[in-house]
Amino acid sequence: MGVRAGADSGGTFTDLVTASGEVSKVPSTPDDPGRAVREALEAALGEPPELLAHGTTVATNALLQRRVARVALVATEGFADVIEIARQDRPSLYDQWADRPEPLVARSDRLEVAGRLAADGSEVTPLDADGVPEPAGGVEAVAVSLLHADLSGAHEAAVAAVLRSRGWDVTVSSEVGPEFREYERTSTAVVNAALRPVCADYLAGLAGAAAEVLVMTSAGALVELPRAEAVPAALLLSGPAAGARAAALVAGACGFADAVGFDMGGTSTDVCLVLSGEPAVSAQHEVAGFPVRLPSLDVHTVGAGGGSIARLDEGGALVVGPESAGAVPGPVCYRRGGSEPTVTDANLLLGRIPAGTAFSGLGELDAQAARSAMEHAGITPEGVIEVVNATMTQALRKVSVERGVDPAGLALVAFGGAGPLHACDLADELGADAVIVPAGAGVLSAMGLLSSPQGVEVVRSWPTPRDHNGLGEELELLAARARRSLGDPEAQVSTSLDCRYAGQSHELRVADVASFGAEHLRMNGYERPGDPIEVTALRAAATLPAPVSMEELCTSWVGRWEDDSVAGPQVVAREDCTIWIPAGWEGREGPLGTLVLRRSGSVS
Amino acid sequence: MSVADPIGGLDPAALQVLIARLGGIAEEMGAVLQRSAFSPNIKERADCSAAVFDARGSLLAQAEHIPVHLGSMPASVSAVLDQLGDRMGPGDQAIVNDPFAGGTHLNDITLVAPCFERPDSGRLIGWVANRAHHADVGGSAPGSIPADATDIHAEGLRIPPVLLTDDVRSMLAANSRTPVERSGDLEAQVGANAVGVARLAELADADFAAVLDHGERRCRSVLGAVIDGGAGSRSVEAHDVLDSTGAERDQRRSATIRVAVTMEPGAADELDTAGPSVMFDFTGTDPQRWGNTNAVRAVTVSSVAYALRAALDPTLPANDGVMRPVRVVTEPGSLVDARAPVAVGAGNVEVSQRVADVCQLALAELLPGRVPAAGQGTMNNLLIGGEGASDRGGAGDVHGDAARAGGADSGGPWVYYETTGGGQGGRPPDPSQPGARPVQGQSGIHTAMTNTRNTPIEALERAYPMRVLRCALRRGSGGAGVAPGGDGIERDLLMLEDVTVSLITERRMSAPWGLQGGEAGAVGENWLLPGGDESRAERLDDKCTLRLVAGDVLRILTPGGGGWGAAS
Repeated sequence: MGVRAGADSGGTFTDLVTASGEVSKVPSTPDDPGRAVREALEAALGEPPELLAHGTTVATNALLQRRVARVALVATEGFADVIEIARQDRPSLYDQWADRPEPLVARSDRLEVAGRLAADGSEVTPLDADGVPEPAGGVEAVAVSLLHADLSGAHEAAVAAVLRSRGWDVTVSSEVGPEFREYERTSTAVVNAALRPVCADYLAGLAGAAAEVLVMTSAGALVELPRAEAVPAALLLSGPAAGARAAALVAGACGFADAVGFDMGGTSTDVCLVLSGEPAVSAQHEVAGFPVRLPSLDVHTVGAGGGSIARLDEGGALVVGPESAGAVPGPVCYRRGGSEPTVTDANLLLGRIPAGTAFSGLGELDAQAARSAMEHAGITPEGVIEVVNATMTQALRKVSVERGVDPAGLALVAFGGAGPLHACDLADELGADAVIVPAGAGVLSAMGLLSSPQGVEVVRSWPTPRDHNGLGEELELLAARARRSLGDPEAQVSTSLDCRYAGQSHELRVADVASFGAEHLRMNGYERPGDPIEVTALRAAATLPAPVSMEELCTSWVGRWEDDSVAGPQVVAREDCTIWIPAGWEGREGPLGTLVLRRSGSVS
Repeated sequence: MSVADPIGGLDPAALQVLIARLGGIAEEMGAVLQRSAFSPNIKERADCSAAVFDARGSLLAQAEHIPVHLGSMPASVSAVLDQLGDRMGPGDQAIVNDPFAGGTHLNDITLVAPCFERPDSGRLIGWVANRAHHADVGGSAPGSIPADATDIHAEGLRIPPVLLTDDVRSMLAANSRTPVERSGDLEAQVGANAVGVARLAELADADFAAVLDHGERRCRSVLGAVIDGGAGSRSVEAHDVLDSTGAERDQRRSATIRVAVTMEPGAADELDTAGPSVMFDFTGTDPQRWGNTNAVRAVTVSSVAYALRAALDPTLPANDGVMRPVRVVTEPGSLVDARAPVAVGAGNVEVSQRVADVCQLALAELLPGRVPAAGQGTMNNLLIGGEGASDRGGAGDVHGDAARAGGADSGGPWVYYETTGGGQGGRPPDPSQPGARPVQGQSGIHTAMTNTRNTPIEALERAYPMRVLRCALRRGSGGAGVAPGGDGIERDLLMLEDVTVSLITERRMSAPWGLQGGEAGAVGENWLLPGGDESRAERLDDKCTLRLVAGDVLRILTPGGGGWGAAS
């Protein structure tokens, strides 16, 4: 078998991991992110691999920087402005300059077509197929989103047929995500249309990089290139999803079905809850202020990391972030022009990053400069760590306690450059049981790319929420469709339903209607036997096994911690990460080459 | 290594950690409340807040989703302290919604719980409280904000601060049209406070005073930075009007709200108890009137807190220390300090908007460049109720995305409540961004005292016998200016069965003002199109209650924002 590789594009580095556990890191090339991937493959392998599993930031960056296509929207007559009105709420209660993002469709590119469906999907007014408007010259992609199209896609399909026959690149809301709530569905279609041209170019450039190229979706499943090109809106959380998948696999192998993935990087930190071995999922997420209603792993991001700047506020409190020194100029100790002290500077001064450490491309870190910046700001490194840990603790509580999960039984899977520096302190604050530092903690997302399943999820709205007749048959049809779209009869398929009690606006995902009450009890603390249950959507997910198992990937790492136990307080520096083990903690090698840390005395 | 001087016994890091923990407790209470609440009003519209207080009832931290709750929560705790303080023990919770004893309007039910050192005993550490908007608390009309209410008793069950017991729960349930939903939401509130009490007890030995002092220093610091020290004390007067206070003949005249805002530079060197300060004096505001367009003082204080925070620094902490340099003077019995027994339902939703406007108008003169032109200045409250006679689309079911008073336990009769966004005022350059330019106001958005989301059209039509014929931006409704105002919204609503409609709207006669030569935004308009016929369209009052029949169309045009800066 040829070489199989995972490549994760990040803001600073592009990480490459092969099935046999070889790792390489090359600087990212933001102007053309694919170049770093091809160069990394070239340098590490010399020849194209048999399989490349790729995590990409191309869609996310395009949206954040608005380097996207000019999009026209065709909406139901009278409703094209829904894309701007959104849900009518503002992003900040008190900051009068904090704006919603400028809509991706300019007012003059909002077009309308006559034809109307009723609340049950039946036709009120026939579609005026002759009146389908023509987008202006200069428009690069078109989104079609009509009211109630989640119940009947016929009008949308007719509009799309007309536009496609005229040569337009069209995204149809009911094809991408047929779920109700017109703003969220329209936003999803528009984001997708805006991303298609830029992502198509990028993905086409990768097509020759390996015999088979798979791309990671926000849902933590690999898809083939044509599907990634068709629905680039599904790639917005590509990298974080791979990290969450890997964290779940590592925690599971170490005997923790429940865990939190804690990926602390330079500018931000991603946390994701894992329950019963599976990362938490979400039906909707937001990127750059735009809702995207497509399945994703429920990754919560905090704007704090190693590069976060610490200062005294006007009231005399030490605050850390939200301003960040980022990678450039970076922390003071990088000697690249940063003058304001950061979390990384504090870790260096406290010896948690050992003196004399040289980061690749930076030379030796400058502790003296970090110390004088800290003194100049009137703050202490101990204080900076105390405050940033309080921020991180809140983030971890948000994905655990605030979702009804007791952190006591959880393991913290610490990765990213700064994760293992803070994890034991955070576990203490949370009362979590253990900290797991995975093998390849610095490249875990790339490892997650190779060890995630291939898969697709299809969804449809249920038109009669209280009437569940025919639900079973419809689920079977949907399951067959999911299997077909994966193109492999061997695919495993699971189905689920979005349910709620009548009168609610918030759905829970369950296996069947009968299990809704118990899930409501678990999530919300009570159930209401006898209350009518509504079904709003049906889902079917088909999966194929991962290209490489996590066990295989980690083979070369097993035994790295040898047999001795590592007791705090001490700093353990390895080539891919640095771990701070406070007093009262000790670690031993666990499965898959992990270091499993527990409070002294509790280590078995 | 030099270390900054400890503040009130806390070093800068310990202070920030305590601030973060207190904020975390409020957030966590809010999360429990939203997660376990039954009604969409709390879960999706997030019309709720949670807060933590010290033993004397001073606000330490708050998690809020709509500004009208900031500043008004402390009144609930202080009312509970006054009336029940000594009688409350570990595990007790008090309930209050009486606007004249710590509440705002009757829909907002606040639960207050004391926190002791130990679960069953010990020293009083502090208090926690949370507030949620309950969709129906009785009164003369579903939804409990009848447009034609003249006194508080028409608006529902009035609960003074009392211990929450099973008897009180039964009383509340018996007085609501939606008892099952009420009990679900109330238990979520109880659970949220229980979480808050447990977590606050972990901070038994913390120095809460340091948190309040920090808030005060933050506020005085920014006040000191914006007030011109050399100019001495400065005072500016402003007034603005409400179009009317109701639908009856004696209510169909405007009412004036006046404020004098005085900024004192204070002595530069003095610490803590003195320094820059600001006073909002509403003396001269019109007396309260029969009807529901009256605000209690707690609502007025919320609007002041909003206007000040928005103009000074949106990141000011939400605690009582921040309000120490702020004085609010109101005349009892006026529109902004209503006394029993007038109705107050629209005080929260409309008077609050105009109080924020008038404060911003005064601040715009004192602090030019820090205040945008007027936003739409209304929430465009619309309540529609029907008997449920016709067959509805889909399963003919009760659908949850709307704040439906009918809730899960209603079969036929239904009530739909919606507020609608409008134009934001044109804005001067962002004062926090050097080199920024003036910016147009945003369109179709909630401004000032509310921020609740709309009901998706698809959710609305699947839940109620209505069809939305049009929902668009009202192009050109924003006032002209260097930075034009944002546009309002146009919505046409077709009735599919006979209904009763109540409108409680403002800025139908007085327009959202421009600033620095910018023009006013377009006033809002309410229209009835009988049978959907444009040629028979008739203009409706800003506040009215009327019966419509199936086939009628209700058209609402919301105001545009004022413009900022004279357009050349």
